[in-house]
Amino acid sequence: MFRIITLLCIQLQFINYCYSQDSLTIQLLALEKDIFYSTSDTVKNSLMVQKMDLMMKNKSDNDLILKNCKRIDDQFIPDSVEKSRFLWNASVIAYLENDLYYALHAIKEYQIVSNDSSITCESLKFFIYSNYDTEKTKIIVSDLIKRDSIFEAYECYSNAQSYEVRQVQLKKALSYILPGSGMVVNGNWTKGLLSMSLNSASALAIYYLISNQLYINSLAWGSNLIMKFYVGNINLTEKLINQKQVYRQKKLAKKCELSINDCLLKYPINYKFPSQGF
Amino acid sequence: MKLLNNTALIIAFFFLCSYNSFGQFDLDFVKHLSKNQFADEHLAYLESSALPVDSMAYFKAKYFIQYEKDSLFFEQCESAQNLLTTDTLFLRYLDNYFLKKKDSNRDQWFSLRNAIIPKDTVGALVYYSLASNPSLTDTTLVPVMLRNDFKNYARAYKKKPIVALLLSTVLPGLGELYIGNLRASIAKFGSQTIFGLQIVESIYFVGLIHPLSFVNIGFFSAFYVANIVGSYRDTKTKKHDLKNQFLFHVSDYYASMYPASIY
Amino acid sequence: MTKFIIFSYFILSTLQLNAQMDLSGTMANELIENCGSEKPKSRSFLKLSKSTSKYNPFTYLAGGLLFVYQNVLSEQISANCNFEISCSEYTKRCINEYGLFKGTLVGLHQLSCCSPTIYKDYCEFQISENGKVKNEVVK
Repeated sequence: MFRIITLLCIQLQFINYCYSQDSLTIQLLALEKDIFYSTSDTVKNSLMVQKMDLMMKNKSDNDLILKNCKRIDDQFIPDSVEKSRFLWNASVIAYLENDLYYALHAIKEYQIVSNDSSITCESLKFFIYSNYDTEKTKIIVSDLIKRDSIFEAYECYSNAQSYEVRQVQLKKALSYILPGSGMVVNGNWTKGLLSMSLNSASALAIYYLISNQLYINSLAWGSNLIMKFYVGNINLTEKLINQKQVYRQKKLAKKCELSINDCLLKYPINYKFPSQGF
Repeated sequence: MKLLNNTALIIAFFFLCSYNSFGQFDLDFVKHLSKNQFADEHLAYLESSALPVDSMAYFKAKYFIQYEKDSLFFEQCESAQNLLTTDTLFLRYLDNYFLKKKDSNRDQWFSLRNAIIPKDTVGALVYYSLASNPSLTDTTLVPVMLRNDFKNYARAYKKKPIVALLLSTVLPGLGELYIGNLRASIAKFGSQTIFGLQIVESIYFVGLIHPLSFVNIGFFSAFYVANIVGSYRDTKTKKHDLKNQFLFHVSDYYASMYPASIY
Repeated sequence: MTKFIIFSYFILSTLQLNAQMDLSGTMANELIENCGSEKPKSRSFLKLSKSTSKYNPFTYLAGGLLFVYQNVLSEQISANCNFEISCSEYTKRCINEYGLFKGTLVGLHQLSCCSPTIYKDYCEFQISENGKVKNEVVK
């Protein structure tokens, strides 16, 4: 008998495992139904928080979780612990979905409600502010380093973000004076030399046309070739300078990735669920 | 016997796990799910409801239209046909929806609609039939707001690709002017004139057997032939585009004059 | 046997209860991703799907010229086409669809129309949000 019951349990578990996605939808639907039929705003919002927890636990798509999250009005969550838990999760999910303004709003509210100044909270603030306010990021980083030197990794990232290409104005001015030279100074040798040769070749061609009294040809080809190559050289120089800045920032940031991972392993940023004894 | 009992128990468990009923079907709840765009929950609710086949198909058709799954919508249409005929607001919504869709889906919908309500004289169906042959129609039938678009389409409908081709052969850009593409005709005429002048000048000063003359003649002839082929193609596509433009405006007109909704 | 069954039952149960997730990797990735983009990939060579074009050497010549233009020359002239599918890309697709002769002619036709005010010749629904004309290779 015992064996039969165990077998049935396995069967049930297996079916549940196979249909887990379906059962999640069913659970979400049941919660949504409760939300729809509840008349009290407090109950409604509490159920919405439950739904959000369920979605996070089951790794639903972040955009769906955020959509659900934005429906919740934290004013109707009476319990401050529950409210701060919701705000924390909201800021994490908004950050992951690149909705920085919502993340910023949620983390500010979270700090007001929970008065949390723990390392994990400051760490999350760093993540959100790093895309928004460099000055504030630096303050957070210096504060974190004082608490634990492992957060020098964040400083490394912050420095990578503030990297700027040198002599930008000089390179731009050079591209106006001698086409291609701005790119050469920027380190793009092939593109610079190609631009130089194209500009000089088209200038020579126009000179040849004028010297042979081919004025219409020189005007037509000149306006098409020289103007396009000359203006193109100026635009390309500017584009390459910006590209260099972005690539260098990315490269420097990648160097910090491992140490940032170490920080996150020591002070992990995760969703907060009710069972965690928050 | 014992094995049979066990199997029966397992099957019973399976059904218990997979069967989820949410009680009586609630239209307001469906509207709520639709409004908040909870796609998965919406479909799960419909599938778990104990609705008759035609009602199920009708609600699923609405669901698929909301999430723009046209082919799945057409699959449900046959079963939902009776309910569709009674829901005039949804029919109007479908008209507006399909007027802005791909040609094949639009044609499929309007032929289906014609089969459902063959004598329907109101709605976008009329304009759809107008669009299929504008030359036979009196423009006074068309509302004032749509008349300009209709006239443009009717005018383009009469244009013949072969005439555009011949005109382009006579004078570059003339074919485009014939079909009403003023900017394209100016651009083509301008560029061809400049190439022509360049050829004359290069032949006069450096002779015919010279790389510059070859380059100029090559460019001129390539663009000349391209313009002829292009005018022919443009005449065909212009008709199609102006028809779509007219039907788009019919859709907007209907959406503003007679608001329609899924629910 | 019973022990094995009970053991497997608990293993299956833990599979489902493994809800606590680790976001560390995702958070770090997001942070690095937000920093900037990778270098853009170069545009591909002409892809020929029709057998008739595959044996024509001039098709490869045209494909090579378009490849060089797209990857080397277009940036030198800051090419900014007025069509959503740029003239060179459109020509490439047309060659693939219609063959070398017709494809080149159709591509040249678009090139000769490509002027900043060309959108005025097209219907409203054919203009994209960035002001470019939506075009597609008709099959």
